Order: sequence, then structure tokens, then C-alpha cells
Amino acid sequence: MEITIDLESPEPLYAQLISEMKSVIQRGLKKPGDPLPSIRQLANDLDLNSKTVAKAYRLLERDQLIQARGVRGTYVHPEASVDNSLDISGLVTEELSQAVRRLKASGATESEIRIGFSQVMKQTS
Amino acid sequence: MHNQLLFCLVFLCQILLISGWMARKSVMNMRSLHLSFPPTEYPRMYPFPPAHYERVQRRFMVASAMAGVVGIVILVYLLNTPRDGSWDHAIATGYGLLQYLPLVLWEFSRRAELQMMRDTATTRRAQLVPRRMLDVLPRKLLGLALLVYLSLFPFVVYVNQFDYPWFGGYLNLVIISGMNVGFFVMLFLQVHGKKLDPYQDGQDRQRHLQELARLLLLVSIAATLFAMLTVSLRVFDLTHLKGVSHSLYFQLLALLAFPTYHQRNLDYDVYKDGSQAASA
Repeated sequence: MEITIDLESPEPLYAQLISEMKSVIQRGLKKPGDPLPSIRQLANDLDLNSKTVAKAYRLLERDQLIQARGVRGTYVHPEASVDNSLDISGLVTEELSQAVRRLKASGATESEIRIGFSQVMKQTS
Repeated sequence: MHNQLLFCLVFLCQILLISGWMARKSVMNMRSLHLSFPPTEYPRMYPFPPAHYERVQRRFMVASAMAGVVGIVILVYLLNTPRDGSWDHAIATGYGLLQYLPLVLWEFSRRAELQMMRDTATTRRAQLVPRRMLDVLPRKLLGLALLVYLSLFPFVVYVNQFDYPWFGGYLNLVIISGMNVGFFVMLFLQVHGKKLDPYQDGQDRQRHLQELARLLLLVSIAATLFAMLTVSLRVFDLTHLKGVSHSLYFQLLALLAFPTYHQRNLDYDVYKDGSQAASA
């Protein structure tokens, strides 16, 4: 079974990768315990940065869809449930909330945080 | 005199096989491929304009024809010049390398096409199956190649009892070992490296890797046997056959490699509907 990534899609590449892999698992094309390609192999085949693939793998692992077994490789999680879905917006909210809480605790005001956030978004976009 | 005539005959075969028959067959295969899978229906297959492919074909034919002419000139020189045959092996080897030059240039051109394909492709495909070296290596052939390679060690030790120059045959051992390491690295990079054709079907890629592994193993076996033969010719004072053996070796390599370059049973449908790739 193959997965396809569209470079012109507005959806981030790692998110496409996650939804493609999730679709393969949900359709039963990959069963729990089946081996998956390494990060490097997938990055080379898709001509993507290995950090992009690593991020997708990390999030899939967090959602217990895949399981990294050290040098033996990566496998479909033995308890990968078919209705498991990754909540990207929830993840963003959670990560940002933590960062805002930390900044407030260190004495930053709301306007300073907003200005800082806006600058970071400009730099990274 | 007979030895020199024999070398000239084998050398003529080398010219006709590599610069004649194989070059012509390669161009015919390329043309037939273009006719069977035209750019209008399979635009993703042709990232460059049609003129580029015609130029590549023309350059290949001209380069092969020039190599053929050089071969004929050498042959005429060999037939009309009194000689002792001590340089025959160098002539066969040097000319063999010259004959492969058009193929190397063609391969460079193919690399440029694949790079262009990658640059213009808007989609990427990958198989969700881990690839391992042992999956593409044919076990029996691998066993045979290992057996032949390992037999080179006792052979060199045996040869060492004779007065053999060049470190008593150990140099051959070093060269063959280096070549095998090089082949391993080459295959490793192909198996674990970047996918060159972004549209290639996963099964086609697997088949291509298996073909490459088979070819490298066959070349490894042929090179090891050739090294043993070269040493034997020297030890048993049959150096007058060295030129013939070198020429036959190059012809054998060409025959082994030829089928790998002309796989036709591939999935060409992946190159359809690529209007974006063609117009880029």
C-alpha cells in the first residue's frame, strides 16, 4: 500500500502524512504489529525533510497509532484503535496554553505576550 | 601470429557487440518506448521538451559511432603492425572503457531528467513497507558470489608458491574486496537513498532494485573469476591470451548489464495525467 503527499495542498505536510497513515491503518491495510518504514526511508521516498516525518511519527506515537521499538524499527501499535483521531487544534491550544502560563508566571504581561507571539509568527512564516 | 589474429577477431566482436549491436538496440528501444508511451498521453514521463530527447538520442548515436570508428582504426593498426601482443590487454581495456562512455553520458542525462521530474512533481508517493537489503538480494546468487569471493583467498595463497609479481596476487584480493565494498555501498544507497523517480510505482522500484542487486552480484562473480583467470594466465605462462581474456571480459559485462537497462514490464500509467509536470 502506498501513501501520497500533495506538495501544493495548504495542509501542512506532516498533517497530510498523519492523515494518510491513519487512513491506511483505519482501512485495515496495516494491521496492529505490522512493520512501518523508518523515518529516513519515508523521508527519502517522499523527498521530505526527515524532521517533518519525525514530527508526524511522534504525533502518531503519542496517539498510540504507531509504536517505536528502538533499533527494531517502528510498528503499528498493538492497540491502534480504528476510531483514533488526532486533534491538531487541540494540540496547538494545549501547547500554547502551557507557554502562556509559563510566560505569565515569569512576569510577562498579556500585551507583551501578544507582541512576542506576533513577532514569532512573522519570523517563522 | 595465430594469437594476434585471434585477438583481432575477438576485438572485432567487442566493437560490433558494444558499439554496434548494443548501441543500435538501445536507441531502438528508446524510440519504441517513446512511440508506445507518447508525451501527449504520458506527460509526466517527459519533463523536458521533445527536442531534448531527440538530442540525447542523436548524441548517443554519434558517440557510439565514433567509438566504433576508433575501434576499427585500432583494429586496422593492429592488423598492419608487427607486435608482440604485450599491450593487447591494455588496448582491450582502454577501448572497452571508451565504449562505455556513451552509456555513462546517457545515464547522466537520465539523472538530469529524474531531477527535473522531482522538481516539477507536485505529489510524492511512498510505500508503507520497510525496505531491507536482504529483500532485494537473491539468496542463491548471493551465496554463489560469497563462495566465489571466499575461494579467491585460498587461490591467492596457492598462487603465492609461484614467483608471481605484484605482491603475489594479493593486489587482486585488495581490488576485488574494494570492488565488493563499492557494490555494497552502491546497493545500500539505492535501497535506503532518495527515490529518484517521484512517480515510480513501489513494486516497480522493488523490481528495479532486485535487478540491480542481481547485476552487481553477477558482475562481482565475473570480476572475481576474471581476476583468478588473469593470475592463472600469468602463473602458467599463458600471457599471450591476456588480451583475448580482457576483451571477452568486457563483452561479458556488457551482456550482463544490457537486460537491466531495458525493463519493459513497468507500470507506465503513473506517468499519465501530468499536465502540470509537462507544462513546467
